[in-house]
Amino acid sequence: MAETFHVTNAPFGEVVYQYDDSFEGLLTAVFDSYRGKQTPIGIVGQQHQKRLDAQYVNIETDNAKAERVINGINRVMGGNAYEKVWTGFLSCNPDKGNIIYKYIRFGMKKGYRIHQLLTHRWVMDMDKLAKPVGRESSLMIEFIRFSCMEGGVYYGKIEPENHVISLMMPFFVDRFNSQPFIIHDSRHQIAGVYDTREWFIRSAEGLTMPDYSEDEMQYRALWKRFYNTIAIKERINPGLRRQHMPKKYWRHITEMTMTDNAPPTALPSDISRAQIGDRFVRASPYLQDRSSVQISEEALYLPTGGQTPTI
Amino acid sequence: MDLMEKLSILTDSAKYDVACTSSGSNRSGIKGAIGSACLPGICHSFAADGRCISLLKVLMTNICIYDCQYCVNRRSNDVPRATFTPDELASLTMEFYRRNYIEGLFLSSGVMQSPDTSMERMCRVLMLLRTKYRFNGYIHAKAIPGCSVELVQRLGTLCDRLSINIELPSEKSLNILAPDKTKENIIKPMSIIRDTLTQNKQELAVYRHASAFAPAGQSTQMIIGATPDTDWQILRLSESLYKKYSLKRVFYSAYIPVGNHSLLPKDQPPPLLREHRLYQADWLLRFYGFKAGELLDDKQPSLDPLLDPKCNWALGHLETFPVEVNSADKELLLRVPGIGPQSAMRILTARRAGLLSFDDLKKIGVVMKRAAYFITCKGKMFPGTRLTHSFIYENLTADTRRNSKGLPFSPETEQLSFFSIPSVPMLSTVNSRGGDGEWQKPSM
Repeated sequence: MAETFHVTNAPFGEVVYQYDDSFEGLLTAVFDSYRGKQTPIGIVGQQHQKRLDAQYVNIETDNAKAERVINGINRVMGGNAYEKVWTGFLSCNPDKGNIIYKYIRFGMKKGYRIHQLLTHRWVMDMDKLAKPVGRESSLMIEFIRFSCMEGGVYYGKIEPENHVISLMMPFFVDRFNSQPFIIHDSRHQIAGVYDTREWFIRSAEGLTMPDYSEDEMQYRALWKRFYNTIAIKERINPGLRRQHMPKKYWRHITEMTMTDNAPPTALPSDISRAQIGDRFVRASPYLQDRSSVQISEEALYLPTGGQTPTI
Repeated sequence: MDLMEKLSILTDSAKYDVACTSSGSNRSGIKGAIGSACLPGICHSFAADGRCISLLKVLMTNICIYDCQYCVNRRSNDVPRATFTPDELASLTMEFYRRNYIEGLFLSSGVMQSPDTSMERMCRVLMLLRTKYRFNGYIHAKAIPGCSVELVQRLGTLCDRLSINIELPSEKSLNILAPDKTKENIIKPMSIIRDTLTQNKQELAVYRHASAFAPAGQSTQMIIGATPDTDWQILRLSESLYKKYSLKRVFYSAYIPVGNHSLLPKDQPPPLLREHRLYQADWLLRFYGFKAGELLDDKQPSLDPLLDPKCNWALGHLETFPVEVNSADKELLLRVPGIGPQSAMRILTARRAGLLSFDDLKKIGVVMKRAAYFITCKGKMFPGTRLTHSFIYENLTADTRRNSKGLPFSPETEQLSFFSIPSVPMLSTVNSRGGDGEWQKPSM
């Protein structure tokens, strides 16, 4: 199989596309490469350290172009491939632009047969890009712990490596459909918000939350007691526990951080006292979620105290 | 008694129950209700013993009129007793669920005055959860041996999975250690559940709004190592349970000494390895198309502690091997150690696009450490292997034997050593010398 390009052996003066870190931007870059009959040696985001010997082309994000690429992927390679591309895009891998580009180009040539070529390098690269994202999203669904705040909003904090919030939101929206909640990704400073009507993803800059509700500490203590009691002493196996529940996530897992009966002395540093109705700004390019959720003016406000879930 | 104390007592009494799975039901959320169920199940935490915590596993009460010798809650045992009120338990479940601590409730109970009394109380909790709290998540309930048919059927409509513990692998053991339980008492509700499940399936096909009966099926559990029953007896029992009662799962629980009956083992570590081997064999029965009679027989009634049951079977049937990966059918692929249902599927998919090499197999996810001895790719064996019993046995058990003897060398030091070259060439050494290049060749 002839390689169309290879980043490391690129001749002097080759073209590199630089996109604006949005999904649509990346797909526009793919589109432009087809239209211009040009093969860039790489597609990079804004964080990229520029090389001296390459020529950089700034890609102007165009939603219409992106849409045509999406339709093309769905038509030629199938919906699975599109899912893979989208999941892969949520990865934190700095090389994701190149991997996705190669995968799409290869797939447009191969069609549905790309799903059989499990051992092909570019297909494997794509799998290696997308799989950890899916895995981390399911781990986060397992390990996120919500706290009930005053006013009945449930707040959960995570620190994942990839941008998994948009994969987690539909699950929890389905599960807790009568319960307002916020998932806060403190690493990327974004938050998924559900106000019992619709969900959206916001920047978490300046996110403020109310105090813990009155009985929050009591239920944490009960849970901690349950956790400590359920283990069988004769079978203690810390290695097995670490294998299933990696230590890097323990920081935000209630039962792993808190000592029995003792409520934490202070709120997490980035949540200060609240002004309900705080307005978020739309900032990060990762926030453009696919689900075509219409964000109304009203939904830009946090749910207020009146929306306590009724039992 | 406050809730904290109750929770401690009733968790402590329930912890020896094994099943903590939330699999088998797939249900999306309902508007206005709380909860959903996910087909493969979700573990939310892992306890210090490495077992998953998926459900809030508690007893309704640990007061019990029975005197089963292997059980920590037997009436002759002097332990603190407690009982949840239905509302206490239901609201606790909800609060835990809303915080994403748990996937649902696992509810079992001691026998209060009669099996029916306890069962009725359990029904009340589930009823409360499903109606007042509108809980739509997962519930696993234990039916109590000897309860009435109506209560089993009622419980089944409220929960996702229903189970009855078979407790011990043979009737003889049951008669000695659990004088209040009989085989009929256990088997009868099991067959009721099975029959209702079949009937419900038909109803659901005809009437769209028929209420589902235990959509995640039924399971059971038994205690391993408390009685002299052999692995062969246990496996045969599991096989017939899967076949006759169409159970979803049989759980095995290594006995932890909690009783002082003269016939029970004392001061022994729980037989964890045996439990592990039984689970491996159980998986072979359910997903790999094995029969109990193929793994064990009267002459060899227990599973090998050194080798997993599949490798053991393969070593006893070398005439089946080597298997050509590029042409073997799925059943045969599943017989190869190191190839599971998932990698078998991937092999079938990938080989439609071209012939597979050893390198490709590794990429696909085949465990080459075990599979290498039993397969050919494009007609060639893996370089450096021989299809003889002694060679494969030595290699497969090398790590285990070394560790059990406690010899102080790791594989790294062994490679450097001049003097400890094993009598049979080890695959790892063959590899490090380069083999004949097949392995190193890139697939592109």
